[in-house]
Amino acid sequence: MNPELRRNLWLELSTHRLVAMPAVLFLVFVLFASRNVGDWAEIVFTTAIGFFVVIVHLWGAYKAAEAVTDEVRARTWDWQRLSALDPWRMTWGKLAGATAFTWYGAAICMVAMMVAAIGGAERRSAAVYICGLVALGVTLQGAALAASLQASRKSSRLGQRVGILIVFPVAALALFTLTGAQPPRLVAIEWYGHEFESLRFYSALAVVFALWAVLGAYREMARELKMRLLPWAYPAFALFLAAFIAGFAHESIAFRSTFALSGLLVSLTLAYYGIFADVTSAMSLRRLALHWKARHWRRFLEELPLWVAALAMAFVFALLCTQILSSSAEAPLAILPRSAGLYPFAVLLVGVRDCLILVFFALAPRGRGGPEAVTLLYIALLSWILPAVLAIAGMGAVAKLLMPFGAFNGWQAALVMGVHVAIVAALVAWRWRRWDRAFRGA
Amino acid sequence: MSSTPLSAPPIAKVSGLRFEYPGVRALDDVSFSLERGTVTALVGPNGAGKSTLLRCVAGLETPALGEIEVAQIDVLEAPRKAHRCLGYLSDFFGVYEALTVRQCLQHAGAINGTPESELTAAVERTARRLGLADRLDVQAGTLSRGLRQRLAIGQAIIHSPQLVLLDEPAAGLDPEARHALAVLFRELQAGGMTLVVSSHILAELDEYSTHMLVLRAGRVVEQRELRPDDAHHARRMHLTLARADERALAVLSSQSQVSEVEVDGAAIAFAWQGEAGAQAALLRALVESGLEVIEFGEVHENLHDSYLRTLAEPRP
Repeated sequence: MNPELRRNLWLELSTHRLVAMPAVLFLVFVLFASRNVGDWAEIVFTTAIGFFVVIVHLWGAYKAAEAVTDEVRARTWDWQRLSALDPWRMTWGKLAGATAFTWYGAAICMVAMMVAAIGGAERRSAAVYICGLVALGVTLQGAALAASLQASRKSSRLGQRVGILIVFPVAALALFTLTGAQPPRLVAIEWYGHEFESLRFYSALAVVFALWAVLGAYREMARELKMRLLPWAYPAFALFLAAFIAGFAHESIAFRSTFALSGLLVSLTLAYYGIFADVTSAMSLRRLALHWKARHWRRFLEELPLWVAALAMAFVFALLCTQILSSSAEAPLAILPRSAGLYPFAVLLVGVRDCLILVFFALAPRGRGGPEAVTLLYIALLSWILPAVLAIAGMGAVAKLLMPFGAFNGWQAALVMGVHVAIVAALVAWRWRRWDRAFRGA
Repeated sequence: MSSTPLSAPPIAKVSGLRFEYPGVRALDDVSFSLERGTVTALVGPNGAGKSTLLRCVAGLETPALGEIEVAQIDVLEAPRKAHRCLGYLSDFFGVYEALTVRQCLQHAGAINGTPESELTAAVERTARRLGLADRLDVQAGTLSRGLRQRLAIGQAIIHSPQLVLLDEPAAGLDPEARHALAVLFRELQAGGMTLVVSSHILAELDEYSTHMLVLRAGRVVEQRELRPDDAHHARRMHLTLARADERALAVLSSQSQVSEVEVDGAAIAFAWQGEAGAQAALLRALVESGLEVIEFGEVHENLHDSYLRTLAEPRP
C-alpha cells in the first residue's frame, strides 16, 4: 500500500468518523424526503448533489489544500521531502489520502443519488452527471494540492494565497456550468462543427481538466521533491486551452484567429498567474545566471520561472496574431483596423513589462515578505490608476503614454510599450549589477 | 586538511559547493569527503553554514554550484535514490502527533524504501535501540522532549541508511539523555553507519566523534581525524623530567620517528610517528641514558582544544 495513503487513512478514517458520516447523511436524506414523500426521489437526488458538492468540492478541496501546508506548519514536511517515494506516489497518496473521508461521504451521496435515480427516465444522464461531479471534484482537489505546493514555497502572504484565490472562483464557475447542464436543462453544444449534449460535453471536459489538475499537482510535487523537470507543462496547457476555445469558432475561417487570440490571452493569463504563484527571488535569478554562465543549458531551462515559459508561448501566439492581422481580415481579429498589426505585440510587451517589474522587486534588498504585493501595486498604478487620474486631470496625452491601447495604432502602441520595457529592463540591469558586485565582494 | 585513505570510496563527496542567500554566500567552494564508518563533528560559529551544508547534502536545498555524491549517487540528479542511503534529522523537526510511535516509525520506514515484509521487524529493532519499545502504542504528541528526539532519530535511521546527518540532535536534552545519545551514536558507528553531527556542545561531540570538520564563514577551514590510532599518523607526545637535562634533546634527536621537538625547561613536547613497541624502546632509551623521567605519554587534544586552535589560526 502507498505509505502516504496509509498514513492519511490512519488519520482520516477513525471508527467514530466511519460510523458518524453515514448516520448523519442518512438522517438528513430521511428528513428531506419526509417533507414530500410523493416526490422523495427528486428531493433525495437534489439533496445528495448538494451534499456531494459541499463535501467533495468545498471540504475536499480545502483538505487537499491543507495536505501540504499542514505538514509545513507541523515541521513534518522535511521528512516527506527526504523520503524515497517518487512524486507520483506522493501525489496520489496525498490526493486520495487527505481527502479520503470526504470521498467516503461522497460515496454515500452517490449511493443516495443512484437509489433516487432507479426507475427514473434519466438514469443514464444521472450517471453521466455523477461522473462529471466526481471529475470536477478531482479537478478541484488536484488544483488545490498544486496551489498549496506552490504556496508552501512562497514567503509572502499574497503569494501563499494566490493559488487558492484563483482555484475557488474557477471552481464556482465550473460548478455553476455543470449544475446548469443537468437534466432536464440539456442543450446542444457545437464544438469543432460537432454537436454534443451539454451534460456529456461538460462531464467529459471535467474529466480532461481532472487529468490536467493531477498533472499539475504531480509536477508541483516533483519540483518540491527536487526532481528536475523541463518547463513544457505551461505551454502545453496554453496550447490545449487555445485549441479548446478555438473549437467554439463557428466558421473555419475564424478558427485560426480564435486560436491565436485565445492562445495569446491564455498565455498572458498564465504568465500573470506564474508571477504570483511561482517563486522568483534574487537567489533563483542568481542561480539562473550561474547556469547560463556555466552553460548548463538543461539546468537553466529546468529552473526557469513558470512565467518565462508562458511568455515564450505568448510570443509565439502574438506572432501568429500579427501574421493573421497582416494577411487577412479574419473574425474576430477583423474588428481591429489593419493599422493594429502590432497590437498583439504591444499586449505581449505589457506582460513582459509587468514580469520585469516583478524581477526588479525580487532583486530589492531583503524586505518583509516577497515581491508580489508591491509588483501588483505598481502594475495597478501603471495600468489603471495613473492613466485614470491623468485623464481626469485633463492630461489625456500623457495618460496615453502609460496605456497606449486605443489611442495609437499597433506600431505606436508597441513602440510605447517597448519604451516601458526598456525603462524597466534598465532598472533591472542596475539592480542586477549591484547584486553582482555584492556577491563578488562576498 | 587531511586526506582520506582511498581503500574504499568515500560515503559522501562534496565538491565546489556554493550556496547563496541574498547578500550572503552561505557556502563558498566547500569541498570534502567522508570516510565510511566515521563520526564527523561538524563545528563552526553561528552562521558558518552548518545547517545549510547538511540540508544541501540531504538534497533538501539546491546549491547554486557544486556537486554532491552520497554512496556514489548524485544527490542533485537523483535525490530520491540518494534518500534511500541517507537519514537526516533537522534541528527544527516535527513528528506526526496524532499517530502512535509505532505508526510514525512504520511510516518513516515505508517512505524510505524498507520492504513491507521487513517493516515490523525494523520498527521493533529501532524502538529497542532507542529505548522506545515500551511506548510503541503511545501517541507521539504525548511524548516528552527527549522521547520525541529519540523518535525523530528513530525515523531518520529506521531504514539503516549508510549516512546519517544530524543537526543539533542533543539540543534541549538533559545530561542523561545526551549520554544515551552518545552511546547510541557509537553503536550506530559500530554497526557500520557514517554519522555527521552538527552541535555547539563540543564536550558531547568529543565523546563519539572520530573526525572534525570546521566551517567558518561558509568555508571549510579544517577537516581532520581527531584521534588517529595507527602508526602512520604523527601524534603529539609529552615528556616531563625531574629537572631540565640537555641529554634529552640528544636522545630524541637520535630517533627517526621524532620531529618538531619543543623544549620548555623540564617539559618537552614532540611529534611521534611510530608503533607501541618503538614508543616503549624510546622510553627505555631515555631512562637508560640517565634521565629522570616522571611523565611520558601522548598528548590528547580534545575537540574543544582542536576547535579553538583552528579558529585561532588566521583566515586564509
